[in-house]
Amino acid sequence: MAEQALSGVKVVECGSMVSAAYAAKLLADLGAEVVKIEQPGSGDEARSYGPFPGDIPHPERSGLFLYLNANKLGITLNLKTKSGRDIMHQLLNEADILVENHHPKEAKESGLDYDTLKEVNKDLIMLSISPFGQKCGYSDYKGYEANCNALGGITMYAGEPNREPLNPPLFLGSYQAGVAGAVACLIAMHARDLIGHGQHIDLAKVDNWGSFHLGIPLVEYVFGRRIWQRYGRRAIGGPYPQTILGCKDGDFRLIAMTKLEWRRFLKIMDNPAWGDDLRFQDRIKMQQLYADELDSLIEPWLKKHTKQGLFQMFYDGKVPFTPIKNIEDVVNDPHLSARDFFVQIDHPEAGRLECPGSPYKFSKTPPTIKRPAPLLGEQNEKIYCERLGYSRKELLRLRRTGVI
Amino acid sequence: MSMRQLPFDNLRVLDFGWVWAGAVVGQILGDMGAEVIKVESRRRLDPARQGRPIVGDVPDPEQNPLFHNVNRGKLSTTLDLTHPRSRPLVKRLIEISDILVENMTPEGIEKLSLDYERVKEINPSIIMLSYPVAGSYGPFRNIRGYAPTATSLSGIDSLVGYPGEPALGMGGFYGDPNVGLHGAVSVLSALWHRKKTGEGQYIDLSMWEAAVCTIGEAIMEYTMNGRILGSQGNVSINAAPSGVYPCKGDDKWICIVVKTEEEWNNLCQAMENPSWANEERFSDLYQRVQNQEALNELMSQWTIHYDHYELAESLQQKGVAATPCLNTEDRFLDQRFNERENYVFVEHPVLGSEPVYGIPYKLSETPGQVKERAPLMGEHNDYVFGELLRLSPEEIEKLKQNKVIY
Repeated sequence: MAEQALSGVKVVECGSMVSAAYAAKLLADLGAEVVKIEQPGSGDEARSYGPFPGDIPHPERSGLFLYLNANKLGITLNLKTKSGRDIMHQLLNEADILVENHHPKEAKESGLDYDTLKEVNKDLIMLSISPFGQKCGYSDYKGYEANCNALGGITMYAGEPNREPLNPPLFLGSYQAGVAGAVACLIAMHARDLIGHGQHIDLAKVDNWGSFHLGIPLVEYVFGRRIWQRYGRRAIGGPYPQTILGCKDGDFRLIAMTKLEWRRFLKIMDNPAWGDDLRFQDRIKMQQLYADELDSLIEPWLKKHTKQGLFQMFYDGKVPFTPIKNIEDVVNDPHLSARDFFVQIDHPEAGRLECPGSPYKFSKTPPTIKRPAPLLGEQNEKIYCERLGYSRKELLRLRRTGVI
Repeated sequence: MSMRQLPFDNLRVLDFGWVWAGAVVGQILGDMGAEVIKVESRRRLDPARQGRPIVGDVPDPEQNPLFHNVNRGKLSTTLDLTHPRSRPLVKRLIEISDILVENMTPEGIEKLSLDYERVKEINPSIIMLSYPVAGSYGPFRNIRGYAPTATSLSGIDSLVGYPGEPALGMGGFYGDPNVGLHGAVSVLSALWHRKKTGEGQYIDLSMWEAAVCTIGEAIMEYTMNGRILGSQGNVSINAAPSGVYPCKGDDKWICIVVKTEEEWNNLCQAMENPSWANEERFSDLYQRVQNQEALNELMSQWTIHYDHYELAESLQQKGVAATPCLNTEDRFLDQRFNERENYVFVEHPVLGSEPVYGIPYKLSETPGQVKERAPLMGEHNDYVFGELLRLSPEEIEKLKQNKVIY
């Protein structure tokens, strides 16, 4: 097997649900060894989330868990016990990176405290993902996924203007924190070569929305220009079109940032006479003043064509309009399958799984799926006996006393 | 900001990325110290330099807030890549760079002879990242598009809407930062590999696929059970009440999520135990999830009397997960939110003092910094072509006259 980009990098993950698990997954898929620590008994909460094959709940068959934890080794360890924390220290002694997403209020009681852990291993890089950050602003607030989205600002940008704003679907906010966390861990790995020791990374889910995703509207606000807000299917401001309109068998995304793209689109529509209307020359004004009228000129034409037909026309005509694909369309998409994007994983309890693979191909060190997600405590013996030198007898005792 | 060491002081990035997504990888590396040379041209103006000006009404490539955010701290060179005489300069830039990033369509990049096959002949140890919408190969590899293109193709748009109603699509520009962050993961990993082996390589990243990666469980709901998730609304499968509720004032909202019995009891207490809260249809989480529509209606009648900030604060003190929904103005003014420097001010010669977004991951030892505002067009031509490529002022002048540097 070819060497992978992160071969030799050792990661310990104490994560529940999505954010820490996604950060560690990104590193694992690129070759890092990830040992995931789960609470004895119930394990990661993602094990109870689903989806489950046939809708029958089973802790070894949760789609969310199986997707996020492939390529990892799994052990159980009760971090609320002193013995559990001692064992974690042994593991961290050898590790490069620790990833965790406990609320700051709960992290300490599980021994996830950087000041203590850096004494164990000064080279350790510790990533802490939390809803609102470690110790300022809203740190003490309790925050589930939707709360982080709301405070991060993204919620106010989706939905119809006179109805309630829409929280982003599923766990997008946690995925964003996960990928930003992976970036930060890699920066710290490179930095370690320079400064000679590890460091702590404090990442708040809200900040990721507040910066990368939503920094731009602040400038417009400061200068008294348009304020971004939710506007149903249409984006407010910017050039026309930026909207979703119906077609024969579904919906289509229309967006053209350049005049050339807009011209090409009109050509595909056979250059309708209204295209020369003097009101329809400045596309920012078009979006502000005439968007409804323009929609009603375009939509009947779209409705004569199917998603697939339109997509091909626009692709050939170099117009960036694309269909709103539903999940079935995505899984069966010919382009994605030509790229082998989806991967099949055989899991001993859940059978054959199909889920997204990595979004990138590396010419020399390709990401791969080497093993399915671990069963609860699957690698206990391997890690505790083979690696840390515990005897079988000690392992049994640790199990009986609820440490593992 | 204290001057601490930046991890990538010795790294040079050649940045052909444009619009929003394409600029993000360079921005991430630049904040951590890399020298990022943006190559742009008047011949094909970056759409992020176009659009409505912030001040006045005359189009001005120096006024776009998007450009100012995602290109802060970079060096700008202007080079007409379609001009044959730009080629020797591009070759030299490739030779002296560690990383090359771009997000043009594959046919576009091939036309400019900037595909990896040719780039690696010039510099075999370079790491090249391409991240067009659909990746660099496949039957629809030349799809062009923007962030909404990625969310439409990935299925994310189909999940955003009120339950049972047509999709409204994802708000903001999710696809752009998302692919930029995934791009940074890939480049930093390839750089790690190069440190150990000296080997460069090519990374083919798809903006579309990066979006799909963030809805893995929706994909598995289909591959496991054939179920196609649609508009998700604010509905939760394991919490109730859970949603966004109206507050006092114009378009003010609070987000409240209640999962445990303890939280429910705390909420009831905060509401001063209204009689409806004791009804059987809300008696446990299962019942509340089943009857969440009715529950949400009753909640809204209560929340509407309160200020979104004040209500969140008092609910939090009682142990209920409640947060105000911040709009653009709130995010700017909320001191508590901004203790973490979600934005910092830079001085721009055209706009004056303006905010750009901060660095969300706080690294205790090497926090990085927003070094400098975004560059004016071609602001660093003399430094890059003169000092780095060692062209004489006369040569540079001539290239400008001939619109090679343009």
